Order: sequence, then C-alpha cells, then structure tokens
Amino acid sequence: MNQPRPQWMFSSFLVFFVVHTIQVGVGLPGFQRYVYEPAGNDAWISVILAGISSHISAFFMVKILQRYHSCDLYEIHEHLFGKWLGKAANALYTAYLAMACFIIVINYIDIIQTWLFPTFTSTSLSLILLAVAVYGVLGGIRVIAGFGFISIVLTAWMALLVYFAKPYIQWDQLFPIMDHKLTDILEGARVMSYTLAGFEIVFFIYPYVKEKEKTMRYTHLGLLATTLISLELMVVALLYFEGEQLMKTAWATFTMYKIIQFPFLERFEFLAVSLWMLIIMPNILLYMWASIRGFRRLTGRSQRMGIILVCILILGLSNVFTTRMRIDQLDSVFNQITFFIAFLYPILLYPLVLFKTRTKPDQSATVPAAQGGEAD
Amino acid sequence: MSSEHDSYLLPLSDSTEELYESIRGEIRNSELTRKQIGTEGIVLSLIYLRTMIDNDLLQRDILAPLLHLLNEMTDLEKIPDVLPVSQLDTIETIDTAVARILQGWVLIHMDGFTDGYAVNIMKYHHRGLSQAETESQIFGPQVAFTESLDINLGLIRQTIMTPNLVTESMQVGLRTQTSISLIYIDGLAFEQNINTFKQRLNSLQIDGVFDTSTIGQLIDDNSYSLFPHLILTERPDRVTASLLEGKIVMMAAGSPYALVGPATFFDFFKATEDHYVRWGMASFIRMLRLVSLAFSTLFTPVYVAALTHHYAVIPSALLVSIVESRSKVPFPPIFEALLLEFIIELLREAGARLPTKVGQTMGIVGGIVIGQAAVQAGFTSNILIMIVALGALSSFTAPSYMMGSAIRIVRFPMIILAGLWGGVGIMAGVCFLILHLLRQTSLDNPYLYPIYPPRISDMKDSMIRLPFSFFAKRTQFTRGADQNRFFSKRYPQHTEIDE
Repeated sequence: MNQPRPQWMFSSFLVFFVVHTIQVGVGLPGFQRYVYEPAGNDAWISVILAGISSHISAFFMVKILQRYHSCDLYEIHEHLFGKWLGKAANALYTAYLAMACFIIVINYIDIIQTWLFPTFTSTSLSLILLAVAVYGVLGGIRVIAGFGFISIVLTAWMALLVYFAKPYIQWDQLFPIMDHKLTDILEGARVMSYTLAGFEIVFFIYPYVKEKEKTMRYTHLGLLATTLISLELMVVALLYFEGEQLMKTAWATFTMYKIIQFPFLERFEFLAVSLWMLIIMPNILLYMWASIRGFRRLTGRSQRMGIILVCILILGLSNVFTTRMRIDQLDSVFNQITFFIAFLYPILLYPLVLFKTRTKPDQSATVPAAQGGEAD
Repeated sequence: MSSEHDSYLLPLSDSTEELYESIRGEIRNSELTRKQIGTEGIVLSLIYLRTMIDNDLLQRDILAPLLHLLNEMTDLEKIPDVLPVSQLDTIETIDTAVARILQGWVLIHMDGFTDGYAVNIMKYHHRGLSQAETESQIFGPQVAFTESLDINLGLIRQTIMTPNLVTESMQVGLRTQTSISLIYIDGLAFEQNINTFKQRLNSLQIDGVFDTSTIGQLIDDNSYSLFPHLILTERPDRVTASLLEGKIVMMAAGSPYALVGPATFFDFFKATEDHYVRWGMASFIRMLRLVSLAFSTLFTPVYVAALTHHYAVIPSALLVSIVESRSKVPFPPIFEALLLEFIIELLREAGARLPTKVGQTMGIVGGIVIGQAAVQAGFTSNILIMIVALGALSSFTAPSYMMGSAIRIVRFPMIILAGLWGGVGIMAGVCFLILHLLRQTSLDNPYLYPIYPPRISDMKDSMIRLPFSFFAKRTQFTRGADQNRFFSKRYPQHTEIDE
C-alpha cells in the first residue's frame, strides 16, 4: 500500500516499453516452427488469436491492480489468501519468475553456442550475462525500465530487416486459408504463450507507475506492438520457407537474417545474435528484479541475498541444460506453466479479487504495507 | 586562525614592540615587515607581509597621506579620514590582526593605543585574459577565465546584469582556505539543486584544494565512475549560457575553470559554438560528435572481434585486402590492437607534456615514423593503424576534454572483451555501459536526460539543435520557476503563397 518514493517511480508511458521489451526475447527468433507444427500455413491466425488472448488476460490483470491502490501481486496474494496460503502463492510465483529468468539465459546461451561459439561453455557465457544483469538489477526498477526503453530504441529497426526477404517470398504459400481445424489453430495459439508471455511483469511494476490510470492504455499498446511484430515475423517466415523447411529451421528469424548482405558486412545473423543481447537483457533484468522482490517478501532477507541465490541457481542449472533436446523439453514444460500463469491466472483471480474487495472497492487498508526497498 | 590559543583573543598590546613580537611569534615568516614613520613620540608602525601587498598602493595611498597627517596627529581617529582606500577595519585583537596581515592587509598601529587599523592593499597576482585553449572555438567570444576569482566573477557579471544573479562565497580547505563562489540566477535555478550543491561543499573536510576540478571530483555523485558528472569549462560564455538554463556554477580562487552542474551526458557533447552557427550545421556537428562517440568506443573492438572470431561477416573482397595487410603480422588481432592503442595514447600523453612546439612536431613525426616503421617491421597492419587513428581522432571531437579521456579509456576493456568473446563480449560491454550511464546522476538529476527519462520537448537541444524559434521554453531539466525565454509568437506569418 505504501507509495514508493517518487524518485523510484517512472512515467506511465514507459509501461509500453517495459511490456514490449519483456515480451520480445528468446521466443521471437524461433517461435515460427512450434506454431507451424499444429497450425500449418494458418499459423498467422494462431498468432492473432494468441495476441487477442494476451489482451484479454492483460485487461483482467490491470483490472485486478486497479482494485487496489498501489500494490504488487505479492501484496494482493497475501490479502486474498491470508498469510500462509499467500506466502505459498508468492513462493510459487517467485519460483516461476526465477525460472523464466533461467529459461531466457539458457536459450540465449544456446543461440550463441549454435550460431557463434560452439566451443564456449555455458558457465562462461552465463557468467557474462549474469555479471551485467546483477549490475543492472542493483540499479533498481528505474534503471531497468530505462534499459528496456533504450534497448527498444536501439533495436527496433531489426524488425524491418525481413524486408530483405522480399525477392524470395511466395504469396501462394499462405493459401488456402483456414484449411486446418480450429483446434489445431487454437493449439498453435497456445504454443505462442511462451513467446507472448512476460506482460505479467505489470503485476510487479504497477506500484512504481506514476499515472496509474494510464497503465491499461500503455499495457495494451505494448501488447499490440508485440503482436504485430510476431505476426510480421510469422507471415514472412510462412512466405519465405516451404513447409518442411520451416519445420527443420530452429531459428527461422535468424535464418532469414542470413539473406542480408552489405558491401562491408556479410552474414548479418552474426551481428543479429550479438545484438540480441540488448533485447534479452531487459528480460533477465525484469524477471530477476521481480523474483528477488518476492524473495525478500518471503524471507525478509535483503534483495542482495536474493540476487546471489538466483545467480547461483542459474549458474548451476545452466550446466545441466546444455543440449537443444533438454532445453526444448524444458521450454515445452515452461510453455504449459506460462500459459497458465500469464494467460489464465489473471482471469481466474479476478472474481476472487472482486469478492474480496467488494466492500471497499477503491482501497483496502487491510493489506500490509510494503517495506521501503534497498535495491528497488 | 589559531583561535585555540586564548591569548590571541586578547586586545592588542599598547606597545608596538610587544605587538610586533607577538605577531612575529604567530606569523613565522621572514617577509613580515615593520615600517615606522614619524618622530618625537608620535610613531606610527605599519606591519605587513612584503610579498602580499601592492607597493605602489602602500606608497601612494597610505604612506603619503600618513606622513602628511603626522604633524597634526594626536590620536588614531583621523586616520580613516585621510586614507583613500576602500577597505579599512578597526582591529582590536591579535587574532584578527594576524588574519588580516595574512590576507595582504596592512596593520597600522600607534604606540600607546590598544587598537589599530587594517587596510586592504593586497596585490592579486594573475595573468591577463587570454584565449580559450582547451575549448577553442571558431565563432563567438574567445576569452577564457583566468586564475583570479574576482576577474572571473567580473567576466560573468559583465554579461548577466540582472540583480537576480546571486553569488555566495565560502571557504573550502582547512589549510588552504580557498575562497569559492557559488553562482546562480535566482528564480531560474532549482532550489533543491542549489541546496544539494551547497550541502556537498559544506560537508567537504579536506586540508586543501587547488583547482575546481579537484572539488568537482570530491562532490561528484559517483567518484568511482569514469565519466564526469559536472561540466568543467574555461569559457565565460558557456558559464553564462548555463546560468540562463538554470544551472549552478562554482568557481574557486586560483582556478581558471568553472564547475557547472547539474549536467547531463549530452551536455558534454555540446559546445557553445553550436548556438553561434546556424541550426542545420549545429545539428550536423552534434550528431557527428555522437556518431564519433560510438565510432571511438566500438570500431577497434569490432575489428578485433571480426578478425578473431567472426571472419565470416567480412565480405570476401574486403577480407582479401585485410588478410593481405595482416599476412606479415605474427600477433593475434587483440594483441596488435592493444599495442597500437597503447602507442597512440603514448603519443597523446607525450604531446600533452612536452612544450607546445616540440610537442606538435613530436606528435606528427612520432606518429608517422612509429606507424610506418611498425608496419614495415611486421608489427601491425596498415588497416588497423587506420582504424585506431580514426578511433583516436573521433574521441577528440568531444568538446569536453574529460569526456574525451573517459571515452578513450573505455576502449581498452572493450577491446579485451571483443578479443575474448567476440560480438557477445562487445554487446556485454555495451549493455554494461548503458546500465552504468543509466545509474549515474548529476546532483541527483538523471544523467541520461532527455533520453531517459525521455522528454521529447527537451531533445530540441541535446542530440540535435533546432532553430531558435523552438527555444521559447527553457529546458525542464533544471526545473526552474520561470520557464519562458521569450514569446514564441513572432511577426504574423503569411500562410498563403504570394500574398
């Protein structure tokens, strides 16, 4: 309930950048194959459906937050479920956020190992990523939001690069439209949840937004931007690859970047893979930040302890998941989890919140106040 | 002065001899002079530090009138009336007498009296005004600050004549007692910034400071950072422009540099000249400087990364000439690059230390000789020499010398990262750099403003400079009370063609 100190807060339109930056990450380079598998050449419809459902979930999420004055999900959990059940829910959510952080790190490491450095160990690469991430998280949410903003400004042009695929595209590959069963298309949309997830971060940054009434607008704009970019990459991939080819291409986006050539630069995808660090770094920062806040709420220990713990976990586990096979298995498990947590959970939670806050719709003084943060 | 000795709070002795002895006990300085004038009972003594006073003034404005007065002298009362000096104090304790003498005043004492007068005839040693050297410009005023605080304050005051220009003076340095002045325009400068600045200066506990740059480092927001957080400038026009933007300026006695804050990262890439030339040219130069910032930090690392790890990104036609050039070089690219960067820094440093004329010759001849010899000896490739030289050149486009040095230092870790992890290493370095800049503040104001927090309206004068018709409002960065510079409505615009 405590309003954070004003110097930690940021303008509401940055919510657009935070939402967009956390959604765009390790999913976009290679999501086309997974959606194509069930939905075939109607995969673009799946992307649109997934986008719409993300808007619906985000709508309920922001509605939940607006029932409270200035709370994050951890406080809402404790208000809804009471002390112990609330703590259990918080523990689960914290674990989910830490896992998301881990998923991003290992997937990006896998991309680096495949495209650039097959010989580099996962440990050394995750050490670099985590060293930068820890420095950023110690700066607090304002710095992290700023990094998300700058990362988008510096990398937005990459979305336009698929234009280079223009000479090779075949429009007839899109047809016939709707020749797959609706269930297949819906299954494709469900697979997309891994790519579009991340907007649940609004649950945690909400207390730090200055003009809270505008959160809804900017969250939706961020989601829309992500949906449009996913749609663009999906459609271009469908037009560029033949069906079987797409099934065998692990990172269709990067493969399409291979077309690009300049007089001074060939193999653009080498540059793209490196530049992708600017895109995934905000994700690591945001997930790590949110999870260590949960850690502090659960244990009452400092967030620095939480950072150390998360880093040790990621470093240790990154050695276990080193092959594409294992990472793929983990990704599909995570896909199920994220479908439930990011897409379904806000919708399920909303009636409960309505019930709990029905007497005092605008404020709920019973919610314990958040402690003043040290690293936030 | 040493107020812990209670004895010096005692009144002056009525015997000049005793007084002189006790002052000599305090100021153990062979330049301490006592001059006696008069005879027959009326003896005036002048006590002063020979090296601190202006001898002409002593002759003309003190000795001459006093000698004239001696005949009808009965007590000290008349002395203030005849001395044509502006600063004159009555001195009653030895403590203040000693303090005044140390500041270049003359103590006038008469045997038999327990008080005396002190007159300020201190001689300021300073050089005359000269051209700005570290921030030289083509257009605009050319004058630079000097080491004298009074002259510098005068230079500022001559340009800004509003009564709202506030100067507050204080002393810093327990031993040097350096006088410093805090300058701002009341109503334009933000109260909180002034307080932060003042509070940081007041909490300084140090024995001595010699230059504003030292004070700048001491009161910096993050003294561990490579980047400067407060602008150091020798140009009065830059100071006055900053004052009008609502910034706060600090000057110290003995330093030709002014410290301006709060500053943003982009302020270090602005020159006042950008306002003297037309907007298109100014914007072009601004962007050129920012491009050269990226160029300087990234070009050599990219070369190292491409040649060490990512041969494939170089088109084959280009690769041929690069490989040809490198064919005789026995070292890995990272070693080659570090060696050349080191040589460039060596030349720069030697050029800065040597006397001006020798330095220039050394720089050019050394550069060509060492460069050519290094290639012929097979130490390095021509292409890398070109790249390193371009990178060094780019770093000198930053109008702030401090920022230029910071950029040059950043290259070294970047090259090492590129050599170890290729493109991934460079991007890790870039991420770290961006995060670092995001975490910095200047007097508790965001350092990367107006990029972050983004403020479109203030981008008119950051990476670009728009025409002055856009400058009706002051920058919001300094949050001054008065936002208006002028009314943006000018003469009526004709909207119709040929009307």
